[in-house]
Amino acid sequence: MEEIYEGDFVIIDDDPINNLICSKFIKKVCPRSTVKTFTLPLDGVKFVLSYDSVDNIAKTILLLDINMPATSGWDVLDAFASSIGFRQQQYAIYMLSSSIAIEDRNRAKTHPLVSGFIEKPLTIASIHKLIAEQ
Amino acid sequence: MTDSLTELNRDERERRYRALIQHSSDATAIFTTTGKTIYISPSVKNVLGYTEEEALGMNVLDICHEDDREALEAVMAKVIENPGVPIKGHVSRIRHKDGTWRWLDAIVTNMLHDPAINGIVDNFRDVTYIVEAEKQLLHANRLYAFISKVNQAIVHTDNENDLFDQVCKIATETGQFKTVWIGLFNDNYTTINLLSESNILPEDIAAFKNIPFAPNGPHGTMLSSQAPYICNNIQRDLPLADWKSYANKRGYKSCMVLPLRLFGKIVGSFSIYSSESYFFNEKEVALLVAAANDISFALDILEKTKQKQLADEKLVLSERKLKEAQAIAHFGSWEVSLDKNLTTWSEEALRIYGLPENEPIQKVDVWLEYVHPNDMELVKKISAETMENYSNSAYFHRIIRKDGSVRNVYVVSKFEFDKQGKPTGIYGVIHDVTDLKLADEKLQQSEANLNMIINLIPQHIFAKDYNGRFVFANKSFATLCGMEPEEIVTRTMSETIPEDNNNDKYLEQDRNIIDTGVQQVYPSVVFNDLNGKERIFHTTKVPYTLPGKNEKVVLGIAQDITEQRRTEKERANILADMMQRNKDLEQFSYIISHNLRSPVANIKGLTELLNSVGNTDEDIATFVRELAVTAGKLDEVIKDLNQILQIKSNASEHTELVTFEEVIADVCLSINDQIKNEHVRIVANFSEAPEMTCIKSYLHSIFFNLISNSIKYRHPERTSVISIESQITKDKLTIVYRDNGLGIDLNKWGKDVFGLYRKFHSNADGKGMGLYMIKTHVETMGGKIYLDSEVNKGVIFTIEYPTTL
Repeated sequence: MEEIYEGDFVIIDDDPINNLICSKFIKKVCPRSTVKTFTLPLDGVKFVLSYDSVDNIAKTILLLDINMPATSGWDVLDAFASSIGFRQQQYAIYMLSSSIAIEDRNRAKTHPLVSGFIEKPLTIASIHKLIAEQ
Repeated sequence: MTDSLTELNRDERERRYRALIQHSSDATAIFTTTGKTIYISPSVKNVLGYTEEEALGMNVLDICHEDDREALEAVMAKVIENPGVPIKGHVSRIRHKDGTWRWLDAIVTNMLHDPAINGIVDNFRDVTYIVEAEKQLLHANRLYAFISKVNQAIVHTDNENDLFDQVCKIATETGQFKTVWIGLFNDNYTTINLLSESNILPEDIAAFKNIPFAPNGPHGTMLSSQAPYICNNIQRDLPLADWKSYANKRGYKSCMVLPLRLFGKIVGSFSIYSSESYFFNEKEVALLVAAANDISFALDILEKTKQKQLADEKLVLSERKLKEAQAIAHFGSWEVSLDKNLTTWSEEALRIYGLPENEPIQKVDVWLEYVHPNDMELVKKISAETMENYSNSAYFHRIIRKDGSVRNVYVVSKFEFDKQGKPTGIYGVIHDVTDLKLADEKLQQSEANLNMIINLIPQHIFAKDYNGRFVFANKSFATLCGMEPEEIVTRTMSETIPEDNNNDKYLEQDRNIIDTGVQQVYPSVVFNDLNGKERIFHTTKVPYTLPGKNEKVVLGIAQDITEQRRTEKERANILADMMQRNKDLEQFSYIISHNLRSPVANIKGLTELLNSVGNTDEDIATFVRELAVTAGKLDEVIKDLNQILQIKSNASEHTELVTFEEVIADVCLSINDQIKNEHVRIVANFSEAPEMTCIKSYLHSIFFNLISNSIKYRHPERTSVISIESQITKDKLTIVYRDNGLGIDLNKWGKDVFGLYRKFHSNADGKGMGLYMIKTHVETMGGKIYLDSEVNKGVIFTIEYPTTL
């Protein structure tokens, strides 16, 4: 029996249904984790930059949508990179997208802040894989 | 009696003998073996001038010529060896008491064995006159033989070098001179150069080559006196010390230098050296002078022959050259002798008429048979005129040869007159100008061809002089200026095209090309034509020297590339347009795939949640509700897609003349509530371009979306004002749409602003279809849309339609 992941989850996606689906699955796999969802990217950024999880040993997993109005997932990453308050070592950032474009996957693979690309929808299997990587 | 007779006879004989001895020219001496006289007959006085007393005790070897001493000693030895045998002595020179030499002949007998005598008996007599006569005879024979051989040599040689060689050889062999040489003076008479010699030692020859000579020496004296130089005693008389010592070394005792003349002028010398002093006596000199004169005469003859030969060669050469020149130039000549009624033709004249070259004498009228029938009348007329007036003539006509070939000839003829003014002959030249004429015709033809081509081609060709005046223009260039080519020549650019065309700049360019000699290419010259229409030319200008004038001008070739440039630009635009459309399409498919996949992913996620264990009833209700919402979204995306595809497929939909006023009114009516609620003010001005032909529903959709967006993204702190106006220019109709709303950050969204499902404001509803729809409508009708915007100031949309639509 594997260990239960104790890190927190942050989800930034303009689609509330996706956020619902993600929260429900994460709760099923990691009942002890806190899941924060943001449909407005800027709210998510604000939270990440102010949220201090220093006492938490496990990394916070950030699931970030790419296609959002006004502020895209890439914009969010730029905001993190240009902010001194962002503690990179506390986060494992995954791009979560329904895009099937190869450009998006490649960009995710090469982005220094990004750990991986996950195709929507998030499933129990993909959560297990995520945790295993931590 | 007998005895007395005998006695008498003896006495008589004794007396006679004595008388004979005393008066005889013979004398007898008795010597000892050493040559000392122990007896001498009194007649010695007759022979040698000494008295008996003087002669007694003399030694013959003391008074003999030193040259003869050896021979005398030899005779003495022979005599001593042969006692009692009379031996003929050597004819030797013995000094007379008066100091002169006398030639003596002698019979010598050894009588040492006879105690009565006890000596050598020498019976001698004076033979001087005989020796001298013999000598003179010999001398004369030698001189005659010499001059005779010289004359033979003159007759038998044909060049002076051989002659000189032979003369030198004859002089030493026959003339018995020791050494002779012949030299020629240089042009300035400062040196003499040995040409021929005999008996000069090989090691001495170099000393005779180009030697300067002293004015008081043999050659200098000969030249200044213009007469032979004679020195019969070199050691005594020659004033030149070095020559004296040289002569002494080589045994020259006397010398003579004779002048050699060519046409009376001294050109060289004939120098003769003898081993004897006083060799050149009167006779000798006279003959040598004669010989030298003969040689000079021979030189004259040889020179004359040579000159005649040269003249003959020259004549032959110039005759041959004339023939060749005639053949090369196809120039023939002829002469008519009027009294003989005959013509003499040159070889080339015969060739021109096709007559045999070796028949120069022809009948006077023969040429008339060859005149081309079409030219006969002219030829006869001119011929008659010249014969009547004895006038010279020069004219062209054609001839037909016997083989049928036609030649063009140019004939010049002139009369010759005698002293009384009566014509004696006609002479003239005939020039075959057929080839020239053909070449000329060909040249003219090719010039005509070139002219035709130059005037046919569309390129504009011109030439301008240093002052900017046209010296040439082709038809195409002239047409550009609305003139004929000949009208343009001598005009300047400003006098040709009054439009402002930087004429000063062209003059500067042209002068620079002429000055530097470097051609220039101007790939894009903008030029306003007669109608003021802008045209673009590709112009090449080269420096060019006008043939035959040596004047430097600039030659230009200009190609009108206006159309080419236009199509190039058009093509570039089309290409850019297509690339943009392709990018738009890619974007479209990306968005569509994304927006189709999003709801599908949600459906998958929700159904998986529904299938999972541990769901509460409330969870299940939520999942089902969200499933319905997601299905609705999916449907919406598909509907959007349908709508978009419909626009694109309806591009050929019915077009009509639509007034902007009417369309705006329709749109305002459909969203009247919103306009009223939000107090939106719409200012429209379509006075300049009130209408356009288009698909009405599309134009409606464009304005609907624009106005809806303006209301949706109006600025919260001010009344929304929308201004719409239309403008029309030469080639396009422009609609400018402005609002004073939130604006769009173009730095951030610039390239995506018209993309599908692009939303730039997160604080308002809307799904990101509006601008995409506007663009699709505009472009489907062949227009273009641009956006200019500043955040919080508003937007300016510019829509352009080409008027050709």
